[in-house]
Amino acid sequence: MYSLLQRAISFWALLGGVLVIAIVLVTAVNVGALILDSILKNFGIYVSALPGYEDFVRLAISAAALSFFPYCQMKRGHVAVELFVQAFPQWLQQALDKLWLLLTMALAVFLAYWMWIGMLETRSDNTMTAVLGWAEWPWYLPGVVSMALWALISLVQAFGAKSHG
Amino acid sequence: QEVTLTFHHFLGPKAPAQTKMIEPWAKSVEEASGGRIKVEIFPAMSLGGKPPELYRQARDGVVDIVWTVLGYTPGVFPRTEVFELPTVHRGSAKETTVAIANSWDLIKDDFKDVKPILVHTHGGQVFHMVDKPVRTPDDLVGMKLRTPSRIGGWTIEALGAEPVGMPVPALPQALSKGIVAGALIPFEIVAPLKIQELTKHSTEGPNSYRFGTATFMIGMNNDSYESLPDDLKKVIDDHSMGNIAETYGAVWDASEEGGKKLIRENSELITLSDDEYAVFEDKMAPVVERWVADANGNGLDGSGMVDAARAAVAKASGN
Amino acid sequence: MGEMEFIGIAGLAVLFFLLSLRMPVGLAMLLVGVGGTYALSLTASYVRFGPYVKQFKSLLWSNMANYDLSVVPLFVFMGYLASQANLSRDLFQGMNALMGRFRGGVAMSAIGACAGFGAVCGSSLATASTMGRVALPELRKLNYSPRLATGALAAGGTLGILIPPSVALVIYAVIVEASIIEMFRAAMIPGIIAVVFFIAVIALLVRWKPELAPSVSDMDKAERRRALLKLIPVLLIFGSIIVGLGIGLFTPTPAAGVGVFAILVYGFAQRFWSDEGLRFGGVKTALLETAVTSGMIYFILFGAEVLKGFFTRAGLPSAMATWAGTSGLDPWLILVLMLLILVVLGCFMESLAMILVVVPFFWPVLIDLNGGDYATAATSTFGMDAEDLKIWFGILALIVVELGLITPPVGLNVFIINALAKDIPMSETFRGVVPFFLVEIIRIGLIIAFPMLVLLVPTVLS
Ligand code: NA
Ligand code: NA
Repeated sequence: MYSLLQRAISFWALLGGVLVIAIVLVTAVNVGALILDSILKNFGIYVSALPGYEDFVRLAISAAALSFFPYCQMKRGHVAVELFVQAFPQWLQQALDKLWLLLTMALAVFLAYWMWIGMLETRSDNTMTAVLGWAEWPWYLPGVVSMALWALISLVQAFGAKSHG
Repeated sequence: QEVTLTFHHFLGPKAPAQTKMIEPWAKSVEEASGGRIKVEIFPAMSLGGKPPELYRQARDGVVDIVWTVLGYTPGVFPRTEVFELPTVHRGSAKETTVAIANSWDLIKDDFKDVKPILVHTHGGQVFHMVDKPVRTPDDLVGMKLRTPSRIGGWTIEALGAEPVGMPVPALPQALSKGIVAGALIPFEIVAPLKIQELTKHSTEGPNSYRFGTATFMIGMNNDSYESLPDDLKKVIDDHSMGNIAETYGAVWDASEEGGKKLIRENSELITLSDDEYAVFEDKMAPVVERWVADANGNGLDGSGMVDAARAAVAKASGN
Repeated sequence: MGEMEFIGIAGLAVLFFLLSLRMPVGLAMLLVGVGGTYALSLTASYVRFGPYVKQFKSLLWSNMANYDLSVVPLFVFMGYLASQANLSRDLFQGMNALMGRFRGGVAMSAIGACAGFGAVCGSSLATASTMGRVALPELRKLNYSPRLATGALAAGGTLGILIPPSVALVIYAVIVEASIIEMFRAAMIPGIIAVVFFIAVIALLVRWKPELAPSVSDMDKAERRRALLKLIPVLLIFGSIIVGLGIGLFTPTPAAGVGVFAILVYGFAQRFWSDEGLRFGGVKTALLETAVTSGMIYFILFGAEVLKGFFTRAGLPSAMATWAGTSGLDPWLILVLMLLILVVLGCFMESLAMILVVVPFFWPVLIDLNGGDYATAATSTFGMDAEDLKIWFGILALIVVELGLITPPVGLNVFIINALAKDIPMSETFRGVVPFFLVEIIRIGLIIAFPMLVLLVPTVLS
C-alpha cells in the first residue's frame, strides 16, 4: 500500500516535471522564432512567435509547482529549523513530529476542499486567460489532486512509515 | 465612527488611482457620513492575493470594497466588455464612464454579486512604437505588440500585428530589447514606466480618439452594503455610479495629460487625420464583429449591445 | 500601541515559538497567519473570519500561477541538470587545470567553480552540495586540512545565491516590485568581490600556514589539456546565460528556459562522441531534486502570503514605519540595526523565510527614512532615489541573509558540506568558515560605504 502511494507521488511529481520540460521546449521554440524574426524581418519576412507564451507558462507552472508538494513531503523536504529540539528527549521529538504531520495533513485537506470549491466557482465564472482564451478552471484540478496526495502522505508518515530519504 | 470599510487595490499608495480617485472618494464618503464611516485603504495587494482575485474578495466579503481591472478576469464580465471595443469607446474616459452609468440596464447582469460603486475606463489605448511611426494599419503588419487585454489582442490581430501578453512591469525591458516593437497602452502609464525614453513614435486618432480602452470597477460587498443603516446606505449611493461618473471619469482624462506632454517633448506624437483614422476603423470592424459573435454565443444580443453602447457614448459626448 | 498591533506582535512571537519547535516553516507561517486573523476578527468587526477563509478558494492557485516566479523552479532545475550532465565536475576540473599548480590552488579552484556554478544555479544549498560532492574528494585526496577544505566549500556555496541567477533575489524583487534583471545586474560586482576576497583569504591562509594545503594538483599535461578543453563548452553555456541576462537579451524566464535547453542539448549530444553525458535517468533525478527544492520554496512563499495578510490587517508594517520615523534615531543607525537583526535571525532561520517575513517590515521604514517614494538622490537621506535604494538594500540584505548559511548554530551550508565528510566534526567546519566570515563583514562595509559598487552595473547597462 505504502509503496503504491510512494510510486503515485513520484509519478505525479514527474508529471509536474514534464510540464517544466514543456515550458523549456516552448521557450526554446519561442526564442528561436524571435531570433529568426529579428533576422528575417529585414527581408520583409515575419516569423510568428508563440502568442500566449506567458499564459501558458503561468498555467503550466501552477500545476507543476503544486505537484511538487507531496513529493517534497515524502522526502521530508519542507524545511524546519533545527534549534533546540535536538536536545529534547526522543519521545518528545517524535511526538512533536507526529503533531506537525497531522497538522500538515489537516492543512492539505483544508486546501484541497477549498480549491475544489474554487474550481467549481471558476468554472461557473467562465474565467479564461487573456491571450490564449483557455479556460482556467481545469488547471485547478491537478492542484486538488496534489493536495489530496499531500494529505495522504502526511497521514502515512504520521503513523510511522519509515520515509526518511 | 461606527463602520470601518476596508478598501483593497493593486497599485501602490502613490499611484494617481489612489491619490486622485480612491482617497478623494473615501474622504468625501467619510465627510458625508459625519464621521460615522471610516474607509481604510490597503494598496498594493497588501491584504494578500493576486490582482485577479480582487473581484472574488469583494464578492466573498474578504474585504468590503475593491478597485480592480475587469480584464484581469476575462469572461466574468461579458457585457461590460462592450465598452472596451474600439469604435465604441472614443477618446474620453469621462464620456464612456458617464455612458456606462447611463446605460446601466445594458450591463447590470454582470454585477449581480457585488454592489457597483463605479464602473469606469481609462483614457484609451494608444500605439507606442519603438522605432516605427504608425500612420496606416500597414505600418503595423508583422509587428509584435504588447496587448493589454483580450479585446486589445483582437485589435492587434485585426490590424495585422501579433499580440504578445506580458505583465506591465516587464514592458520597459521588452521595448528596450526589441522583444516587442510597441505596445497598446494609454498615456497615463508613460511616466511611471519611462515609455517616452523607450519609444520614438506614439499614435492616436483625431480628437484624441483611441484604439479601445480598459474597464475598471470599484465594487462593494453586497452584505457590507446591506448591513449599513439606511442613512449610511444613502451616503454610499450618493457616492456611486451616475453621481460620481463625471468627476472620476474626468480624473482619468486628466491623468493622460502628463504622459502626453512627455511624449510630445521626448518623442513624436502622431495625431491621425480623420481620413487616416477611418482606415483604422475599417480594419478594426472585425473586432466588433468578433465580439458580437462571441456575445451571441453567450446568449446576449451582441449587435444590439454595441449599438446601444455607441449611442450612449455619443449622447455623453453631446453629439 | 493598539490592540490590533498587540495581536500582531503576539503572532510574531508565536511564529518564532513554533519554528523553534521544528514546525515546518511554511506550516508555521500559515497557521499563524490564519490563527492571527481569527484573533483579529474577535477584536475588530471589519475583519470577518468566515469570508476570510473563503479566499483559500483561489489564494493557493493564484500564488502558484505566477509568471514572475516561474523562473524559480527553472533556475533550480538548471542547477541540478548541470550537475547531472557533469558540468559541475568539468567546471571544477577546468578551474583546477588553471589554478591547481599553486599552493592552495585546488581550494581556489573550488571557489571559482562555485562561482561558475552559481551562474546556472539559483540556490545556495544546491551549489554547496553539488560543488561539495565534486571538489571535496579531490581536496581530501591531496591532504588539505579538513578545516580549510570544508570551510572554503561552505563559504563558496554562498556564491550560488549571490552570483545571478538567484532565487532569493527573484523573491526579493517580487516583494518590493523591483526589476529582477536590475537586481541580477546589481549583484555582479558584489559577487566578483566575494570571489576575489575568498580566493585572497585562501592565498593568505596557505602562505601563513603552508601545512593547510600540503600538496598541489597532480594532473599531468594530457589531463590538464583535456580538462581545459571540456571547460570551454561549460563556460560558453554558463557565460551566455549570465551575459544574456546581464545585457538584457533575455528576460528571466526565457533565459532560464534557454539555459536548460542548452544544457539538455549539450548533455545528450556528448553521448555521441563519448560514453559520458546526460541520460534520461539523470534528467529524471534532476526533476525529482527540483521537485523537493521547489516544493519547499513554494510552500514557504504561500505561507508568507498568508502571513502578510495577517500582519497588514494588524497594522504592524505601518506601525513600524511610524515608529522608526518618530524615534529620532539616525537613519544610518536604523539601517545597520536592520542588518544586525537579519544577521541574528539568520543564525537560526531559513533564508527565504527570512526575506519573506522581514523585508515587508523593513522596506516601508527605509522608504520613509529616505524621504518617500519620490525622493531624488539629492534630497534623500541615503543619497539615492527609491529605485536605487530598493536595489542597494536588496543586495545588502541578500549578503547578510547568505551569511546566515554559514553561522552557527544553524548554518545549512555547513551542515550540507559536513554531511559529505562525516569524519570531520561540525565544529571544524564552522571554524574553517571564520576567515571567510570576516571578509564578508569587510565586503558589507564596503557596500554600505560605496553604494556605487552595487548601482554601477544597473546604471551603465540601462
Ligand atoms: Na546563482
Ligand atoms: Na545560520
